[in-house]
Amino acid sequence: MMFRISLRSAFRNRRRTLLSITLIVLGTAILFSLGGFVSFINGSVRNAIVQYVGGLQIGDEGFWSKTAPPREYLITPAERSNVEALLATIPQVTSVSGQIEIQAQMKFGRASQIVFGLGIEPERSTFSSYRVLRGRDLGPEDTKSLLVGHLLAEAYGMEIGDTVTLLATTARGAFNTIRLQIIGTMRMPTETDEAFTVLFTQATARDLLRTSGIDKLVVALTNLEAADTVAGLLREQLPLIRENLALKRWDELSPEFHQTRKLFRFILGAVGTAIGLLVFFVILEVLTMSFLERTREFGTTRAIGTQRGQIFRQLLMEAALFALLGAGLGVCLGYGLTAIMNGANILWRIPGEIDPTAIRIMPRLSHAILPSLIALCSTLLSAWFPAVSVTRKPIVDALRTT
Amino acid sequence: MQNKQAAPSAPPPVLETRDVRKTYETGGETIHALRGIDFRVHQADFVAIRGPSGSGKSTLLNVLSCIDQPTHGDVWIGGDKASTLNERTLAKLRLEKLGLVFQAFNLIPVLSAYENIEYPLLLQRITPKERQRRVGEWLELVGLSELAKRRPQQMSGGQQQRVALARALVTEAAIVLADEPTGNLDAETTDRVLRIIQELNTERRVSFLVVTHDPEVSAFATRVVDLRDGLLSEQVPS
Repeated sequence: MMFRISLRSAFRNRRRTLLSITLIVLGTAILFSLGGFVSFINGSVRNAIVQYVGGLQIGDEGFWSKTAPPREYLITPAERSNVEALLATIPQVTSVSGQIEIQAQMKFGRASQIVFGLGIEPERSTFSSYRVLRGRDLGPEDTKSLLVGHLLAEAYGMEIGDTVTLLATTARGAFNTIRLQIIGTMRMPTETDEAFTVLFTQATARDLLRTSGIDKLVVALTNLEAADTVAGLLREQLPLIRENLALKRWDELSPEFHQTRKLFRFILGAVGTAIGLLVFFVILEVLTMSFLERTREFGTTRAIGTQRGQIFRQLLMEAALFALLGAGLGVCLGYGLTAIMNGANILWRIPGEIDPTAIRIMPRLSHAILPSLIALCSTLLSAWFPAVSVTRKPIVDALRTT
Repeated sequence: MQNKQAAPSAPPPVLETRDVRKTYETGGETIHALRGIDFRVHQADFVAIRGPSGSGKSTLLNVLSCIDQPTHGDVWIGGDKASTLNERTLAKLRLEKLGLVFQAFNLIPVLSAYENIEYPLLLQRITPKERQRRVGEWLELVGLSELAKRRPQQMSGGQQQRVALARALVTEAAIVLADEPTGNLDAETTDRVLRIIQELNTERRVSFLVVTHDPEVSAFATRVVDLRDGLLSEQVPS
């Protein structure tokens, strides 16, 4: 009966009910869509990071801390074999490849530029954070070739087929140079990467460094959620292969992911608070009017024998009905809005990235939790004060109210 | 048609007051609305309280209904001393022992006639089957079975007052306290409502205490009490 009274009372004044529910619907729809958008941003940033660093990386403590003398921390072929054998026993690991990072001086004609060189294993493809723009991709057979960042090529007028000379310090501390031919230019996630990075095969890198070792092993996983589990297993086993071997998860290698996530959480929180406050004040006004108009009715029901708490609960139930109905419709509207936005194929450039991405908001039902809670809490809070006010009024005074 | 006979025996009082006083402070002035009311209502009594405007009728009814506290003195409802009860227990007492009828009917507008009558039974946690039986019986008794689904705004004043009467009686309250129950009704409807009250009073031995201006209502009462300047004086019905 109390529910019936609440339900029917909630729709007594249609104009007010419509205003309240519309506000909750819009607020919920905006927050719901925003939640989907933030999820899209986080997902895009995460994918970009994983394409660059993989799911896990394994290297010497000295490599990670940069405290050891250069190249003392290289992983030897024997150690690499042992680590790969260990990784082969873990089902969540999909592929492994070695990487060598080299800071080199690149000479092109009269120009000279410090570049960041990355020695990769194209056949194992754990590094996919680039896209060949012109020319062709690296293959395992390319021992005298390289790809250069598109901006780097543009800055020095490099063309496909041109040769450059790389000068670097070998693992034993001597200088070494090699001549490599440009086989393509590549697009990379950020302008900085593209202006300073060159890619070559690991054979080329070893030739330049005069070493058979590698800096680190990049591990690709079936899914990132497995990173913690795999890391836990490896942390126990790696020291058995070599005392100082350590691993980093993808998110430890990219603190910017956490910063981005924090930023968007802050934005979501700020918008949520603003919408919550707006809903709170408008519903407060609406419910105060609605409850005050019914003071005499509450006086009557209390005179008949209804407990004050029962009326209080009834009023909160009315408010909750507004909130639940509004939130439900808001989620439906949110789905509609995101479908429209996705259909419009709007391009968005993630901060720091070169290529724009088409926005694909993928709202999940979990995104409805926060807006629904905000709607429910702000509506219940706004109902609380007028409900207290009308239920505390002496019955005799309430009955006299016209 | 009028019930002039006193109760055959002297049952214990369903309602009793002892030296009830009520004063208000208004603008530094003390108003003595009730000046010491000693009064008893027994089972099957039909008491009419008369008095001019401002005589304290409504104040007395509020105090007797336990929706207002006296400044001094005590009210007993079926042996329970109201002044010693907390708000929760008072609400329970009103629900179980008192039936209230208001001049303006005071039905819950969003509920049908049936649901309005059912409301106090729900508060009492009566089983659905029993609720259905009792509500059906009272709707029949007040002649509104066919209007059970109507909401208050779809009914006339007389029909609403009959619903209010059924709501007051459906809990099997020992006494019904009514404030000008016919004040908003035309002569024909007044007569109909009074006949129902009289029938309930004589056949079901329900006690009624009615505050009224209407001589026709007083004529139906077994006891008529005048309230003047906050003091009661009982009249012998003619």
